[in-house]
Amino acid sequence: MEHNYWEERIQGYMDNELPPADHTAVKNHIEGCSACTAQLEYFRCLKKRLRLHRDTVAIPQCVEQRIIENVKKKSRRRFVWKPAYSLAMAAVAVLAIALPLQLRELPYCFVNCDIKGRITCTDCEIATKAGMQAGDFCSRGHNPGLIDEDGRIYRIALDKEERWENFMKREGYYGKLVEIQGDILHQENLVRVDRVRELVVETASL
Amino acid sequence: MEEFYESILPLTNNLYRYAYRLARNERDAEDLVQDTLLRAYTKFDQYQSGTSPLAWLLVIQRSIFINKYRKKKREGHSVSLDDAASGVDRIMPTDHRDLPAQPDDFLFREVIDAELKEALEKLPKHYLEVILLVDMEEMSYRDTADVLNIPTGTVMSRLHRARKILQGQLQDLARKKGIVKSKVRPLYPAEEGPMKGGTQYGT
Repeated sequence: MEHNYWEERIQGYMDNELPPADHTAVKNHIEGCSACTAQLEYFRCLKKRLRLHRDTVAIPQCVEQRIIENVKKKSRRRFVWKPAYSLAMAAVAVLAIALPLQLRELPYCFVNCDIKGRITCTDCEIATKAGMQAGDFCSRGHNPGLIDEDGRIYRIALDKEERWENFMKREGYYGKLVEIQGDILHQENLVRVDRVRELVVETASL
Repeated sequence: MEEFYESILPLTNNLYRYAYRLARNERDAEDLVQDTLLRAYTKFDQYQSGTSPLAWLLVIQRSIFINKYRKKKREGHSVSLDDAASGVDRIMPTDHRDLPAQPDDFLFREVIDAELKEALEKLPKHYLEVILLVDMEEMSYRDTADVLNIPTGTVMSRLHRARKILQGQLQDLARKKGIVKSKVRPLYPAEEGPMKGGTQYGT
């Protein structure tokens, strides 16, 4: 029993892992114990032998290269989570919840609003998005609408037709960038036009 | 991520050595190392600068290894990662007179690498691991304890038993070669049967 007690500590002594007091105690014991001295010598040799044996297993160079290349390639593609992303995600989540709520809370009525966008035909836009030809849905004439910067398509309400008619009469209005002052029914993407102002795209001149 | 490439990738060989000893085949070892490096990349912000990067990597690698082992076991595959301990009659010498007179001569001249490899493979995994980490990778008891998620005292006792079992197996070899003639006592009485090791992976 006593021998086992010392033997376990001999290893800690050899590995330099004992507290100073234990280290001294083991050292003193070894000096007077031939069995422990022999065992310590054996363990030392075994440790050296194992250390030498370690290198019998080595990664083949081609395997190492392959692994490193794969890791570099996949790590570039892999999304790395960072704490800052948590904030961004939280903000997106709040918006995702808040925006629909906001829309739901809006009264179902027209609200005064200005909107910028490009004059278009709503049916042509839908047809194009669906992979069809412009004009497929509106063979009897274009349905005036507006597409804003985010790609949302608004129909133009025809209850104020007179003002709209005036605008319609202008040549080449399709595709023009405009600002519409009027009212919007957000839930239906419907715009009533009070005034239309054509926006001039400024270009740099030499 | 330059820091990752500079501090982690040079340890690929250490990872491979450990993976190979656990998995015992090149293909699993390669997969294990690659999975470890990829996971280390995604978790690199959790690595505490100044601590041992090898210990940190080995914690990851060991976790992946254990999960794969469990998964394969659940799926009923024959697992190449299984422990080779069962059926091996391990011996643990207690009499110092069994020791060779010149241990360095014996260990460096008489014991060839293939024999040492075989002796290591016969060790239960939880004993093999402390040998791999402390004796081969020269890690401290504390880092080893962190990797294996056990107390430092357990590292010390496992290491003691692991070395003694290894010593016993090599003594047995010495006896067969006629270098040592005295008999050594079995580690466990015959009726208890062979020691089964590495069960911690399956539980």
